[in-house]
Amino acid sequence: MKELKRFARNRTAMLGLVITLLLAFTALFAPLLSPRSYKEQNLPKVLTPPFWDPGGDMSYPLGTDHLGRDMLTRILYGLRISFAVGIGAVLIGGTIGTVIGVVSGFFGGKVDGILMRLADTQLSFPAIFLTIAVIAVLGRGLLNLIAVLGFVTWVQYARVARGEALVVKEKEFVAAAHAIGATSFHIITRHILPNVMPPLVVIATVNVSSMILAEAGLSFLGLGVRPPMPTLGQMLSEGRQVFSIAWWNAVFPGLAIMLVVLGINLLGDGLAEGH
Amino acid sequence: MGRYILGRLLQAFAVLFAVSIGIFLLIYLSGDPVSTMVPLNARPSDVEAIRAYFGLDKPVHIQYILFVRNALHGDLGHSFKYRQDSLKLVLHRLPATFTLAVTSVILAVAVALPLGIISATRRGTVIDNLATGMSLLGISTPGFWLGILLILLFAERLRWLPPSGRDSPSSLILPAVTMAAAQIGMITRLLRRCMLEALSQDYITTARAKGLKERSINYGHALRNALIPTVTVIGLNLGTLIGGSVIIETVFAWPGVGWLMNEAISARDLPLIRADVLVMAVVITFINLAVDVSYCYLDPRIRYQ
Repeated sequence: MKELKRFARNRTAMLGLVITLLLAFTALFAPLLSPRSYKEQNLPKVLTPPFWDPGGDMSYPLGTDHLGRDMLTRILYGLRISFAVGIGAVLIGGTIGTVIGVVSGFFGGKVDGILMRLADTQLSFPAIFLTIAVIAVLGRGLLNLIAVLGFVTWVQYARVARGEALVVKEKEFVAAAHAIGATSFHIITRHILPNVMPPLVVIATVNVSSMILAEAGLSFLGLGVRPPMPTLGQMLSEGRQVFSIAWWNAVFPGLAIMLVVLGINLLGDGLAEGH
Repeated sequence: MGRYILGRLLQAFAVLFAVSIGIFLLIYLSGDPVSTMVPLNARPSDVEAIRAYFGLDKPVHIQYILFVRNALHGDLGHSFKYRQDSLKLVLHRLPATFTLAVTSVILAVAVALPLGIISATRRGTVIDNLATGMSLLGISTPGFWLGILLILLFAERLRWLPPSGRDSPSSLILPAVTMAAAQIGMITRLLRRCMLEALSQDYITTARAKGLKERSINYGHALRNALIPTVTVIGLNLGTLIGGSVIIETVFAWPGVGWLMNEAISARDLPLIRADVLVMAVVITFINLAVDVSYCYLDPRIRYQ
């Protein structure tokens, strides 16, 4: 409760929360908010500038792309993919990492040694590099992307979970649970997990933003979700081809990525300060 | 000390061994490369002959041993796209990637070092808030988008700098600035946090009690201790830069290993992808090794462990 109050008083953290929630809700309700489909083409309206520009059209507030599709609608749908990949990858990586870390820390011994060497090995390679290498060979697609990003990021969670588990298992309430004959499974789920969760939630929050950035980069390279489903990275890659005659095609999708990442980072900073 | 370095060296080779298995399995699992090489109406006997020619008819473990043996002889296969030795192609592009990565690090450190120090020593002032805000923007901006904006402004509108390629020294400016932006944010934030942490330690109170000047407390005590983790992260981040070069180099058509990787991916040129990934992995591994070894020179606590 005290932490919640402190969080509510932290103005930057609250700003981050508001930005993130606002973008998440507009993305979630994109089909209700936009009168158009993300693939609806309007060829006479190709490369219409945003409404405040001469030649702009209020029914296309942020202009259109090279096929006359509404930029704002596509950005909202692109944000859905951003959130889906960000949250999906963090859930996968976080679950694998937490389980491995807690087991490793709780039981110790040989298993711990092997798992942590494995973690060191994987940590020596940047996640983005591993993801590009794996997707380049396995092929693209939404599920591939989420799974690969999740699998290459488990180490961070595992290390923190292990460290916390090592501390918590020495506490008296764990010794007491042992004494009354509780099983390891019971101790891990009832006593260790609730205590290792708070720092993991902080890392997970910040990681959603790095996963969103990674997704954007991979989509930009053509390694993300398949068209016609729009993603912000892929919109930027298309916008790059026409940006000297239609700047809005290259500016708005990037601005959307920056806003969502900024919001989540502010939120993460606020949560981190609480600890 | 010697034992530590030897242990780290052995670990690096173990990592490369794991990488060789990983990349081999990835390519192996990605399907039959011969089916994409032959026309649809090829005779089965011809397909078999090609498979035998590439050693693809042998069991998995034999194929792996052949792959490692060839790799150790510098033979990573011919690129489908360029019809050249793929290792040579990658090595030829490596200097461009190094030039870009190192320039961006120098640029980032030159900006972030003073920014982080000022931010920590004048905590809560306008300068601190400005620096903190800018670094948050830096780490939140997608690098390739910043690159596109810089090209739009400095190459398309103002025509001050070339938009892409590597024809003159000025071609280096835009990609290096782009690559530096996120690092500036990261290094400033890290240095600020580490310095603030150092400033709250007991030895700082002792130094103050002894009547030392603020200047020598800040630079002699706090900065020196804050630099150790900062330098490590800058070093380890070089690996991330090389890994992330695929995106930035593609934006600027910078002829390094990253752009080559992107070309190889678009063409599904598996031998070239494999060579590129392996070379990058070797480079990243040895950078990490070098960082760890220099770390134990910087921080005596590790040496005596």
